[in-house]
Parts: sequence; structure tokens; C-alpha cells
Amino acid sequence: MNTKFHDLISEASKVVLDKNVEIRLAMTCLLAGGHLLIEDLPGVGKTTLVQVLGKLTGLKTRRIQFTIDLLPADAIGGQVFHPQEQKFVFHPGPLFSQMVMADELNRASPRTQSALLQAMEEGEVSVDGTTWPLPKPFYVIATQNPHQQTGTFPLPESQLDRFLMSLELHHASKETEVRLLQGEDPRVRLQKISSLFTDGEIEAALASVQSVTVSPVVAGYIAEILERSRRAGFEGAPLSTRAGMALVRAAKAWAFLEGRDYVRPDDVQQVLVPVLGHRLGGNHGIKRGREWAHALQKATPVPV
Amino acid sequence: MKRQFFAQTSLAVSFITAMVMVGLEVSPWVALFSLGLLIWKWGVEKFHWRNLSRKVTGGLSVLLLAQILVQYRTLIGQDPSYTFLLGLSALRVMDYENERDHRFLVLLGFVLISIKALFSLDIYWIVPSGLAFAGLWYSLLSPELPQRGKILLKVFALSVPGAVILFFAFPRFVLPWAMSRGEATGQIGFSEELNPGRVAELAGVANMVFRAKLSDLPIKSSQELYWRGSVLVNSRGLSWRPGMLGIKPRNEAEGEKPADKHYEVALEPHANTFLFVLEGTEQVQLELGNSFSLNASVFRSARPLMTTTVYRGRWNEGSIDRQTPDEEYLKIPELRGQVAAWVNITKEKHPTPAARIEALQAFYQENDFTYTLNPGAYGGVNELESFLFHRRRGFCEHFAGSYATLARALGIPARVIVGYQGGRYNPMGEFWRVSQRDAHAWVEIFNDGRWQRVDPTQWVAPLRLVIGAEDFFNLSEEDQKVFARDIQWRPKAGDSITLWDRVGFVMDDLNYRWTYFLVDFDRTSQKSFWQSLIDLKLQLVVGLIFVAVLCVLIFRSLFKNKGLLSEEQVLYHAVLSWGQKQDIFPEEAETPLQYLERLGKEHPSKKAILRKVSEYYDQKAYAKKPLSGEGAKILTEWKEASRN
Repeated sequence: MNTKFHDLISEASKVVLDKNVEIRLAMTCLLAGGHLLIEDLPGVGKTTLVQVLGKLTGLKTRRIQFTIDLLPADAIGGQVFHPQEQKFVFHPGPLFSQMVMADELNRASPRTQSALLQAMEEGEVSVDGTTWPLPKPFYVIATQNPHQQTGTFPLPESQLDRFLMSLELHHASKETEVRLLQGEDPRVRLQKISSLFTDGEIEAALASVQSVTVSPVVAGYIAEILERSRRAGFEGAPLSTRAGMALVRAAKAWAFLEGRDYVRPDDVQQVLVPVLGHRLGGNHGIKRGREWAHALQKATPVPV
Repeated sequence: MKRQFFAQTSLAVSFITAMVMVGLEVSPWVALFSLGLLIWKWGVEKFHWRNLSRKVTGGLSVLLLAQILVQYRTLIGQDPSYTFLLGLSALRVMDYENERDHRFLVLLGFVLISIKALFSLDIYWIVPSGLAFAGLWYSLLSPELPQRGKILLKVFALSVPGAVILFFAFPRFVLPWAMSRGEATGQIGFSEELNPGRVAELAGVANMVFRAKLSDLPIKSSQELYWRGSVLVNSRGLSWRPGMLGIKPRNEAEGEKPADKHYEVALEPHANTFLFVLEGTEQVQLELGNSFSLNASVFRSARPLMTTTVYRGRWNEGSIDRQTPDEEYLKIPELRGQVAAWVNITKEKHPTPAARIEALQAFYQENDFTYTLNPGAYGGVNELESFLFHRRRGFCEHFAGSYATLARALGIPARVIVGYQGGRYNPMGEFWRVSQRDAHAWVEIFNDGRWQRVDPTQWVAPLRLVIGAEDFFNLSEEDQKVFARDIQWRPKAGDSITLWDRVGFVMDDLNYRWTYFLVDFDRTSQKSFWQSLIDLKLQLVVGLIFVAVLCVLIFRSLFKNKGLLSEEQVLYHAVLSWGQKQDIFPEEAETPLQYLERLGKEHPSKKAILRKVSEYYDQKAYAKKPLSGEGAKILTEWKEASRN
């Protein structure tokens, strides 16, 4: 099972060069059943990454470009009047896909943002009194422009919490860029790849991630991290229990990708910065949050 | 990676506590010197001051020796060696930088705490000593260990039965050389001479001298308590010197008479051999070591009383000293001026000794003498005249000294007794607490074929004797003068016992019991304890077994899991301590598996076994596989591999 995921990661890194770790983390986030937030400048390969993942996993992928005048209905869908049948029929919006890319989420108005985030949390949407379940798996990869750029509505902390992980993509290195500039256009390569998974396989993987075990030592380690974030003198926002549970979920998925059915502290350390970065940062931005997450990891001794 | 002394909180706090406890006992100069060194070390670690070079520390240790030599004039004895040890401890702290230094300091700390116990058995010191001891132990435990507090608790709980067994079973030795202090004075500064001024100095300090339990004695008032310490027989006029008393011949016929009563005294350490006894004491029995009795009913210990000493006095109400004095007891220096004149007139006026004694008493009663602790200095050949006829200000020593000299001048054998008078009754423990302030001097005259006590202070300042020295000296100087002769008057504070007094009594009582219990459990008690075991006092044996079983049960319930560390933790710590010896320390936030891998890279010869350890650790700690027993096997393998 996880050999397939390894194939996926190596295939994807042929298209999105030099982003091994990020691809792996994005897959971890998918397997943990969470949603991903990517913060970076335009043109560093966010869209390509999502498209590659969508293609390789065989999940139905849609993209929503968020703008200031985007309304909730534009994403969710709405009742449309059918004159022949003389009734309103629900037309699902682009949100009804397995993998949704919410581009430049922080450009949208808070109302639209919250509609999306609520859908992410609950896995269903309600339109005019009727509840429509979203497809499974449901994986949102949102991108946002760097903190405090003009014309943005920063996500409130409570909503940042809905994302399991946050990533930064950074610019590609010089060597990678040389290869990129010389080689085939990624968009062309994208056309050539096909899905590695059949229907239901991803869902099965999601289920087996749930059964990964967490020993008391590891749970103690995570609790210690939480406790240290709440101590006086620590700069970041204190972590909630939900943050701890998110860390466990992500570590489980990472362990699953490693081919293990139990979590090591090493797994926790691998996912710690992406999981905690945006939670610790709060209104200081994800960048600062990631620094604090790093410091927190350094400061917490691993239980022996 | 250099270690920092002050970063090791438990070590630093405990070690400094131990140093302070010893520092309070030894030379203040060396204590300050040690403090300075500690501050310097702190500066080195905190502000990157320059560390002292070997040359400087070497020079300082020579200086330390010189200072000790100057102060004690010897390097042999308890005080100089402890002082030296304290100074060296501080110098050793300066060198602190690695694991070995850490262990050495812990050892040194244990020694310092033990030394404190030699100085003082007070219960007050048990708390800081115990805490410092625990802290030193704690600092020895590797910081990576989980539940360090619990481990410490377990170690201590395990040591309790051992300590109890040692307390009851360890043979008690009395080593005559073990307790010699270099200095001539101990904690209670009582000297064997009467130089007016000494008592006044002593009266300034409220240090406790001894506690006494007069269980069977009919004495109920502090006024009747005259604790004899030493007898002075050489008169120099106002001041007196000791003389040869001679050892009292052993009276074989002297057995225990039915009327005999006993009292017990717990004496604080002092450098002399005085045993303070009540008037009427016939025999003194020391719990440790020997005592002997001198003529004039004076008792001495055979060795200096360097530790708290407990002794029993045998007391008989009718006991009277009837030893006839020789001419020594009539010798006085040449009298001059008004003194000589007064003596001549009195001699002519009163031919009988009884009349002369009365005249002498009248002299003190009728002339306006003032009892004060600040009489000013007397000196020169006319000091006696100056005191008796001009200034007439003084305290017990002046009155006793002058009275005895006048008595001898009138042909009545006399001697001066120095010791303590009165004491403070502790109703909680029913014992008397005698402090330095109760220091007193009085006179004994030989009249009617026996020695009789005369206390001239009684005529001048009866209040001092009635309310006790402690309360008397607490009065203002004006009040002392005004009320000294008025025995009806009582200071208000003495009327009621305040809560604070009560707390003091309870603490003092606790301390007394503690000291008494520890010191009293000597060879005799030990013998009788074991004798009772051998006698098969069945009940006792069964009781002890029951208590032991109970202890084991409680102990087991306290530490339910067999060990506080699981197998894989033991294994990992074994590897960790080896790794640290190879100078490979775990890095910040490094997981055990990462550390083991790094260790394997640095030491390729151990790679195979380290991988085994790593796999076992991973499976046991994280995957929770029940691999019991295998850990021990790998541990043996590891031990073998790490040896070569």
C-alpha cells in the first residue's frame, strides 16, 4: 500500500522539482484527513503541486479562485430554477470535489471564507435547509498570500485552526530553476501522468492511518510540547488540546507513509513545524509561528 | 562541553547550604574568603570574568593555611582542619567544569554535612542537613532520567531500615583523640578564672548552656538552683584564680542511700571539662566517658566536652561538705587603706566568727551598693578599696570576690564558686533551661564545721535571683537600679506566658528530646537493647517482625511497578552513560533512536549491537511489543561490547 504512495511522491517530484518534503507533507495531510494551507508568493508552484497530486491520486480536483467579490454560493453552488420542471434544483458548486484548491483564500471576504471553512470542518453544506454531503475524501488545499499584503482579509486564529498543516513553498534553488527553464513545461508533463490509485484505495489508506498506534511515551512527548507552549515566557500563542490531537493525526499519517503501524517521536518532530506553525503564529503570521514551532521543538526534550 | 556550577541548581544550592552550615562554626575570615570565591565563580559563569589560574588558586590555598596558622596557632585539631576543608571546598568549586568535578563536590558536600553533625546535634540542623543531603543525591541522578524525584524517594526509603539498624547495631566507640578541638574555648565561653568582666560579657549572650531535668528533686523555685561549675581558691583581692583542689578520695562505704535522688543534665559542647552540678550532688555519672570528682564537690569530665554531653547527678538533700580547709583558704593579698582599717576595726569589735559574718553581711546591706553590669573597670592595687568604699558599683563577681577576700581577712575560710544560678523552667518538657545569662558567682565560707553558701548578690539585688537573670537583664538599666532591692516587684512580661513563649518552649522541648535520644543511646542502652533481644522477649521480637513486614508491604504499595525504569530505559541509559564517557552527548531534542544512530556512526565497531539496541528500544517503547526478558539479554551483550 505505502509503496504506491512512495511511487506517487517520486512521480510528483519529477514534475514539481525540488519539493520532496513538501509533497510528502501534503500527502501526509491528505492521509491524516486534514486540510492544507500554503502561504507563499505567486509563481512558486502551488497550483502545479495541487494539480499533480490530484492527477496522481485520481481524485476529482477543482480549483476556486478567491476574489473579494466571490460569494459563498459561487463556491458551494445554489438553487437554480428549472422552467420545464417548474422547480428549483440544487446545482453543486466547485466545492463538491474530492480535492479542492482554494486559491488566494485570504482575498475573499470573511463571509465567503467562513462558508468554506465551515464546509471543511463539517464535511457537508446546507443550502436552503437541505444538507448536502461533500464527497469523500474531501481535501482542501488553500493558498494565501503572505501575511498583511494589501487587499487581504487575514484568517482569524479560530479558522486557521481548521487547517491541519501549513506549508511554505519558497523559491526554487538556482540549479532547479536552470533545469526548469531548460526542460519541458510542467504543464505539458502534467498531461502525461495518470492516476496510480483506483477508486476507494485512498479512502482505505485513510482508514488504516486511524489504526496506527500511539504509545504512552509518544503521547507524553506531545503533551509535554503542549505544556511548554503554555508556559510563561514562551512567545507563541498557547496550544490547545485540539492542536495536540492534530499533531497526533499528522504523526500517525507520517508513520503510515514510513510503513509503520506505530508512531515514533521522530514522526512527531517531522510534522511538528507544519502542524503547529500557523497555530503558534496567530496574528504574527505563519512565518513567525514556524520559527516559534522550531524553538519549541528544540526546547522540548524527547522522553526516554 | 563545560559544565557550569550555578547551572546545576540542586548541586549549587545543597553544596552552598552545607558550606554555610560549617562556615557558621569556623573562622569568619575563611567563611568570608569562601563566600568571595563563590561570588567570583558566579561572575565567571554569568559575566565571563576571568577564571582564577592554577597559580592564583595555589597561592590562595597557601594563604588559607597561613591564616589558619595565625588564627589557631596550630594545624592540628578539629577547628583548623574544618576551616581548611571549608576553604578548600570553595577553591574546588572554582575548578568545577565536568562530571568528575561534580561527583567530587557531591562527596565533599557529604563530608561537610557530616562535619556539621559533629558540631551540633540540634534538631534545627536536621532540616537543612537533610535537604542538602537530598539535593546532593538528586544532583547525581542523570537529568535524562524520568521521575527523578521518585527515584530519590525510593533511595531514601530504602536507606531508612539500614540507618535504623546501624543506629541500634553499630558499636559505640569512645576515641579519646577524636574530639580534640584546637581552640581553648568552646561554644559556651566559661573560663576557669574570675576576672570581673567575664560574667558581664557572658550575660550579654543568651546562648543555651545546658538543660536539666530535675525529675525527683524537690526544688521548685529557680532561686534555689545553684549550679556549681568551678571553685576558685586564690584570692587577688577583687579577682580570683583557681588553685589545686586534689582528687577526692573514693569513699567505698558510699553506696546508694534510699534518700538519693537523681537529675539529668544535657550540656552543650564546650572546650572545658566542667560538669555543672547542683549543690548537694554526691556523684556524677557521665553517659559517655569518665568523670571524676575533686575536693570541694567539684566534678570534671576526663576529656573535653566537645559534643553534647548527657550526665546524671546523684543528689542528696542532706549532703554536706565537711572537709576542713587548710591555710590556703585564708591567704589574701596585702590589704591597704580603708579596707585594712575596716578589717582591723571589725576584728576588734567582733571577736567571734558568727558576729564577724553578721558584720560582713551588714556591710553589704547597709552601704549603698549598686548592682549593674556596667560598673566600669577596676584595676590597680587599690581596686578592692575603690570598689568597697568609693564606687560601690558591680555585679555578682565583684560582690563574691570582695566578700570572700574580706571573709578571709576576718579569719573565716572562704572560696568563690563560679557557675550558673537559676534558669528558665520549660513547662512543656518539665526541664530547666540554663543560658549564658544565668552565669553567676557566689561564695562558700567554712563555718560551724561545714561549708555554707553565701550569696552577697542576694543582699544587693535580690530581684536578680528572684526573677532570674533573663528577665532581670531585660529590664532597662534604670529599672534594674530602682527595683534591684525590691523583691515584691515583678516585670509585667513575666506574669503571663505569651504564645511566642509557648512555641519557644515546645521547640526547645523537641530539641531536648531529640538530643537526649541521640546522645543517650550509648553503649549501655545499646547493650540492654540487644540483651533484651537475646533474652527472647518474645513480644518484642514478634512486634519487630510485624513492623518489618508492615514496612515491606507499605513499601511495595508505594512502588508498585517493580522498577521505576522499564527494561528499554535501563538499556538506553546504559548506552547513554557510555556515550557520555566518549564525549558524545545527546543534542537538543534528539530522539533516542537518532542518538543511537549517531553513536553508531562515531563508533563503527559498535554499530551492530547499537542497531540491536535501537530496534529493541523502538519495538518496546513505541510499538509496545511485549518483548520481556530480551532487554536483559541485549544489556549483557551491550556491556560486553562496550567493555572493549
